[in-house]
Amino acid sequence: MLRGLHTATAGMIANQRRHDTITNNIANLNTPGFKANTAVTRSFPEMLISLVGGGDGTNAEVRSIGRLNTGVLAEEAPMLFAQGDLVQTGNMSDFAIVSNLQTPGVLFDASGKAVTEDGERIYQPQAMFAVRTAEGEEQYTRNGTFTVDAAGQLVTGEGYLVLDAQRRPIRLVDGAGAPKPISEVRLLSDGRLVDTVSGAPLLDENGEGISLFVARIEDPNRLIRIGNGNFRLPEGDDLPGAIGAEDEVELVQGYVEQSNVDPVQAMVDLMAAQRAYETNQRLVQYYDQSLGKAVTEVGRV
Amino acid sequence: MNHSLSSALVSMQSMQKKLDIISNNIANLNTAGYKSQQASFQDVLTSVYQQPETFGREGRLTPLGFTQGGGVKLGVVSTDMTQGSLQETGNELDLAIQGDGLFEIERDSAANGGNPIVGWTRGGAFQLSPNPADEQFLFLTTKQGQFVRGVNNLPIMVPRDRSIRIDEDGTVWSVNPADSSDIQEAGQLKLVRVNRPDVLLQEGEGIYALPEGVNAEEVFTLNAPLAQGGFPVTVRQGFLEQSNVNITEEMTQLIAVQRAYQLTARAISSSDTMMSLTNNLRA
Repeated sequence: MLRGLHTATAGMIANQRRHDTITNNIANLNTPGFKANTAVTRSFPEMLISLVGGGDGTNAEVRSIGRLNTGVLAEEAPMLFAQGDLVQTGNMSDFAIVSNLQTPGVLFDASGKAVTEDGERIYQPQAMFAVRTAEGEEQYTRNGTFTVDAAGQLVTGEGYLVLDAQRRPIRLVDGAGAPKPISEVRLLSDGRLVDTVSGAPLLDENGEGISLFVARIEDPNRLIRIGNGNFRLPEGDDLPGAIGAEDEVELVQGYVEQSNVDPVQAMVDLMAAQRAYETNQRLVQYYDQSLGKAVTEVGRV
Repeated sequence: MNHSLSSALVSMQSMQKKLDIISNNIANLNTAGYKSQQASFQDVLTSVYQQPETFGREGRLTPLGFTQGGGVKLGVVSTDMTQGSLQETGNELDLAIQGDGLFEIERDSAANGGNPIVGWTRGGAFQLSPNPADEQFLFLTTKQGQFVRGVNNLPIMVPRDRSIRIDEDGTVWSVNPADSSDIQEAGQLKLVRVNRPDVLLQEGEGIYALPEGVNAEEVFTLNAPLAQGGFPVTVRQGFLEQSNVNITEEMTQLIAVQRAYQLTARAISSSDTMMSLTNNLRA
C-alpha cells in the first residue's frame, strides 16, 4: 500500500484543526481578556525503512533506505500571552491587569520566551485574577468584566466569586455593614480597594483592608482553557502564589483588556491553512490515480 | 469534523445580538432618561480532544489534550447607569435626577389582587391624573399612569388648580398661582440610591424591577442628605435627563463588531471550500 496516502490524509486532518483554531481566534476578536491560540503541528514518530531483498533474489541482504515520517498531527494549541490593549468602558466594575512579570536572571523576548545558556526554554510568568466556581474550584482569568451580585459580592459573568488577597470572596460593604455601591469604590493600582469619598480602605469582617488577589502563574503554558475566559491548572499542580511587591503589575479600574488576536495575521493563517488542506487533498487524489493505474492497468494482459 | 463551520455560526449569531444592542442604543440617542446597554463577549469551549500519555513528548509546552474553542457568546449585559446631561424644558412636572438615584413608582394593583407592584424609574416626565375617589386631588403619575410614591410609600397627591414646586430633596409643595405666599406641603418624593445596579431588571419604558428573592434593602438605600454621608441624590424641577448614549463609542463598537462579523463570515466560506475539497476527493 502506498504510505503517502495516509500521510496526506493526516495532513488534511491536521490542517483542519489549524483552521478550527484560527476560526476560534477570529470569533474572539472582541472578547475581553482573550489570548490567541496557535495550533502547533508535529510529525508522526520517525521510522526507519529498509529494503528487503536485493537484486539476486535471495533476500539475504537488508539495506537501510533512511528515515521517514508518515504523517502530521495537531499536537497542542498553546496560547500567546502577550498583553492586550486596554479600552475604557467607564463601568466601575470592569478591571484590567497590565503586567510584565520577570524571572530573576532571565531576559524574555516580545513573545514572552527566553532560552537559557543550556538550551532550556522559559516562558514569562503571567498575572491573573483568581475566581472561585460554585464547586469551590479556583480558576484564573484576564477578563475583568465583573459585576456586583444581589449579595454585594464581586462576581464574574457566570457568577464565580472574585477572590481577595486572602482568597476569600469580596463583599462591598462599608464599616457599618451597609451596602456600598461599586461607583463609590476605587481600586488602587496595587490592588487595594478604597472608599472614593473618604479614601479609607474597604474593610472585611476582621477589620482588615481588602485588596484584589492577583495570582502569579509561573508557567502560563500549564493553564488549561475552559471557556468563559477562565483557565485552570491541571490537577496536582500547586496553587499559584500572589504577585510580589517588586513585580511590575498595574491594576486599572473602568478599563478592560482587549483580545490579543491580530486580525491580519489570523486572516493570513486562515488562508494558509485552507491552501495547505487543499494541497494535501490534491496529493490524496494523485495517490488515488496511482492506485487506479496499479489496479486497472498493471495487471492488464 | 469541521468545527470551523459550527463555531463561526455560533459566533456570528452572538455578534448579531451585540449589533442589535448597539443599534438599540443608537436608536435611543434622544430618549429622555435612557441608559445605554453594554454587552461583552466570552469565549466558548466546546471540546477537549483527549490524548494518550504517549503524546507527552519532549518539547511539548502544554498539558495533555488539544483544546478546541467553540467561538464566542454574549456574556454580561449591563446597564451603564452614568448620569445623562440635563436639558431644561420649563415644564413644572418634568423632573431630573442628579446622582445614582431612582424614583419609586407603583402600578397594576388590580392585576396583583390589590397589592401594588413596586417599580423604579429615572424618567421624570410626570403628569397629573385624576383621582376617582376625591375630585379635589390629582395623582402625580408617570406617562404610563403609574403612581409616583412618596417617602411614606403612598402615591403623591396634589390639590387641584394649584401649581407645583419641588425642592432638591424631593419635597413637593402646592402653590396658589394667584398668591405665592399660599403654600402647602404635599409630601416628599421617595428617592432611592442604587447600590447594586447590576441586579436591576429592565422592564421597558425606562422602568426597573427587582428579581424574585432579592432583598430591596441591599439594592437600594433611601436617599439621605449630604450631612449623613455618601453622595446625595437631588431632583431638578423643569429639567429632563437626556440619554447617556455616547454616539462615538457606539459607532466605534459598531465598526469593530461588524468587521469581526465579516471576518467570521470569511471563515465560513473558507470552511465551505474545504468541505467542497473533501467532497471532490474522488472527482
